[in-house]
Amino acid sequence: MKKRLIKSFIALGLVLSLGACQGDNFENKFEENSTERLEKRKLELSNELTSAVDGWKMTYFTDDSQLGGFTYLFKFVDGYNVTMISDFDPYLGYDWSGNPLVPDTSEYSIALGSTVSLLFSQGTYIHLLGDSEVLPNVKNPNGTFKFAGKGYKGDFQYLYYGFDSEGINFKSNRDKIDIKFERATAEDWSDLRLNRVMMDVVASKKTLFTIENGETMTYNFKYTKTTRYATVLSADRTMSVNENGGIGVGFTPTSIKVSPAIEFEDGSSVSELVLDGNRFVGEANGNTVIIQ
Amino acid sequence: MKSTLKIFSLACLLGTLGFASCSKEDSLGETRIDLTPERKTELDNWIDKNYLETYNMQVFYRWDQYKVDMNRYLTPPRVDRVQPTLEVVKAIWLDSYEKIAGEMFVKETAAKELVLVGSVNSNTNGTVTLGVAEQGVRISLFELNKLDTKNRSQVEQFIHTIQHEYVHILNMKWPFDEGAFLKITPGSYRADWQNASNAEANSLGFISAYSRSAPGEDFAEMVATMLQDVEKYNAMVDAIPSEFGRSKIREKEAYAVSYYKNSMGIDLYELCKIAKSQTDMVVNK
Repeated sequence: MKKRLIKSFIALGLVLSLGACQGDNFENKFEENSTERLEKRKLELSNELTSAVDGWKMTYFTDDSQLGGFTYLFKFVDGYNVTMISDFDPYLGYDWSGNPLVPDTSEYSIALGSTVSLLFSQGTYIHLLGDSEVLPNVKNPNGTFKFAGKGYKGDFQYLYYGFDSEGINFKSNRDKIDIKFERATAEDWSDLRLNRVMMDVVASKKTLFTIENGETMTYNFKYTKTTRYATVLSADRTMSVNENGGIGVGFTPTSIKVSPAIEFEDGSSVSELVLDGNRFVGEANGNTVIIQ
Repeated sequence: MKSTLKIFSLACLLGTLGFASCSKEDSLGETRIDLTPERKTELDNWIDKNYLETYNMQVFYRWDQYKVDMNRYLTPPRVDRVQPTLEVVKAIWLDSYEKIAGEMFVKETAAKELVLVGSVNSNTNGTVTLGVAEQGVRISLFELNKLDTKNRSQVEQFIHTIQHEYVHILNMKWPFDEGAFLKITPGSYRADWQNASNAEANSLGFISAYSRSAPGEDFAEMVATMLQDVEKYNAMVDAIPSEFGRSKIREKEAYAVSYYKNSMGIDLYELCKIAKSQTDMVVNK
């Protein structure tokens, strides 16, 4: 009898507790549900991409510990098609890859994975950076190719992290590398070919100076065309401008971009050096970097 | 007392459930998911007609990270490479099997998904993977961007890959006796097959260096080489200097012919003739 009474109360308790779950008055952390937020985010990115009359420019440093930056110009024609050109010109012998300065149109999509992302879904110039057959000609001491199976380590799916007055913020899907899309101009499209001139100019430079608080440091600067990476080491090879022992180099028609940025003790940093006469010069908060 | 208690308990249960069921329930309203139909291009419609509706096979040529190995640096194909490649695949692979075994055979056995990749699939040991068959339902093909569909040797190599992967799928539906097959050339299989030459493989009774990687690969390589061009296959085997090598390859050939006849009722030699004729048609088109 006692046992049955206990069982009855347990049953009653269970049912009441289930009934108590009917409450629907919890506080939402967001005004919209997750589906609505994602759809809104997709629309936001799509609108932003197509809003730029002259499209977007990107200098993508795929791995700035050993490779440089590769500049692409994108024009998102409509919700499906994108036209692009690039200063990355690895001659492959494919009939379509010979001159990435000739605009090529392919499809893109706003994809959904871990978050909303921009996906270049059909083969075009951007994919040459992630083609394992397109290799920098650099070998390991044992004779094997250093970047075998990886190519230039580029990605073509970018996770969307919002936009600001300077452009659209992304991270690459594979390596989570920061990527910035900046609004392009008509001149950017006509002048991209001049990046190649800058490539030749920087290849002739041998020395990098940093001038901080009146003190000058001198480093040997050795740029490698195939990787777009420059080693920056003091004469005794014990010091450099960062822990990588060098910098990745990207190009504009009038300057070079470096990554990682060269940092100073006061927290300022130089990430772009403009060609001034026969030298590249960058300044930040009174500190100077010169490559000549 | 017993029955009073039971009635009391039951009443409590029903009463509580009754209250719960009376709670207010809002209308679900319209879906918040974007249900706009997927945009179809002319190419998509062509694929639907020639692959999806004909063979219940989906073709993925737009990039989908969940269809490929993200540990590899792979890329989608250029769109202008897709239809020419699929025409070759249909004519030499699907149409050949359909001609000899009927439409239903192909519908029932062909992969349900065909994933097209533009770039090379490089391995860390310096070799490249030309194709992959996964779970018996998906075949992935690589290097589309490099394929010239008018170049006979390139087309043959490409079709060799797909025939090879298809044999793996057939082997899953009709398993072959790997133990018996292994006994034809026991002791000559090796994981580092890439470090030995084709000539050495031939002399040991293997049709290619890759055949030595495993009995399943050996079997698939045998059939794929025959289907690639049976006349070239015969000429190549006849030219092998080693009598031992020649006889072992012919023994494997007989095993494959028997497998096709007994498992599927297909005359492999006849299938080879059809595949060759289809290849001639494609490259001379």
